[in-house]
Amino acid sequence: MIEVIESAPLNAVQDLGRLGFRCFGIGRSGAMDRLALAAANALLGNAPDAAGIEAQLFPLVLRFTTDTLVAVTGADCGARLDGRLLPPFWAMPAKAGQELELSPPTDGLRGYVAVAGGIDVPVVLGSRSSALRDGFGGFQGRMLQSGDLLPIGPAPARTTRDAAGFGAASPWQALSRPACGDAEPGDITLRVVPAGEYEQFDEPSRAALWAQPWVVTTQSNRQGYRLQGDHALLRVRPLEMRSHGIVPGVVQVPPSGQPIIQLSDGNSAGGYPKIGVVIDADLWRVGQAAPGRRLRFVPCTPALAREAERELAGYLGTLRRQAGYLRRAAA
Amino acid sequence: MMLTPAEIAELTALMRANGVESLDISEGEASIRLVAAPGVVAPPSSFALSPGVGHLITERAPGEPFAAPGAGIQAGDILGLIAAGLVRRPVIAPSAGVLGRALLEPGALAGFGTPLFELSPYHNDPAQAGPEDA
Repeated sequence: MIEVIESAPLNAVQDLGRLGFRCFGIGRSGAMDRLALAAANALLGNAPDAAGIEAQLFPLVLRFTTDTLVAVTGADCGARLDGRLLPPFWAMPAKAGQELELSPPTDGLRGYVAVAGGIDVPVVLGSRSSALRDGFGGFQGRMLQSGDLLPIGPAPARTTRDAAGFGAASPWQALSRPACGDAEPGDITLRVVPAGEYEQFDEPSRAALWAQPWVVTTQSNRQGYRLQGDHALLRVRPLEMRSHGIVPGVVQVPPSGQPIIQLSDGNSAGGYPKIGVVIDADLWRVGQAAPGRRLRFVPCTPALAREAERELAGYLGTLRRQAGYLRRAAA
Repeated sequence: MMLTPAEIAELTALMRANGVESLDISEGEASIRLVAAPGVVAPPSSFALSPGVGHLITERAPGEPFAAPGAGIQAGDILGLIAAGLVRRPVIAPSAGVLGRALLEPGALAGFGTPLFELSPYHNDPAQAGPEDA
């Protein structure tokens, strides 16, 4: 078990998400940075859909009641195991009684904790993710609080070749950054496929979508990010639209002209016109974009989006294989 | 005698370098004892070795070294990482001590067992005392 010693609000159990129930109005949920969670599971040799803990607010203090392997990925939260600072994207043995503490990251937004065997909460509608708005999934359908005891799934007894553990190159280091001509080094560049109503926006708005930086506002959470840009996005003729199905990554434009990116806990349907969709392979970057961060949109095609997915799968596959050499059976 | 003065000089140099305070050598009936004068012997250094083949990383995050030269180190501390492919293995301090300079440039290729950092033992100088001595 993992005992929650202390948790700021909004930290919860997540996996890669709940697929196939959007037709019933049930969204995907799941980790905001699914790549970081998947990397943690790859380091541990877990099933790709094993659940972990998403830490969005800090501190998060956990105590292990049993010997296990733990991995901490995502934003660098200065994780400490019994006070000893871990490198970022790190996996190592944790002994029963040891405490893991995550602190607010200086760069990025969300940290992920995974254990060998995964967090073994019940599967609800095909996923262990927390659907906090609807109050199901995850640990009792709610965010974590002190005193919670999270069950750990079965896993072979394994340790690491080096007692201090081992780590991984983060996706920021290992994956190519989407090219954007005049983006500043700190800008997060995202590939966007034009969506259904793209052509309804006037020419200056379509140009501004690609040309100007979009700042993440404080009205941003797991449901979606509201962005702010100098030039508002306007349609040639405003048309009322019926509500229709939407997915994480959709960039909607409400009447204000300032776009919203729908994310993990976003609505399953909405009526705002869609100017584009951030490709799935880049959503992890959004999940680590803190308020104030500048986003840049880069035009993308479905073919290029699939190529980006292959790059991401290649990173995870290589990581899983190489991490296997650095674990061994526990004595 | 079985040792020439040149051999004795070589042995005493090795004693100094390795912190050996006395050395007994015997062959049949003959024996010789070399004893270092107090203060002559340099304290032994230890080295943190590369755990494998890969490139040395000395910073935990940009601008944040795992440990700076002159810092007090505890046995088991992570002094750097060795990157090979997508994975990183820790470079571990084998003993407590004061960290010397990195023996390899950041990013340089290390082989298995390559010495990467030198650690000098703590002296009785309180300024250099490690946390456990404080």
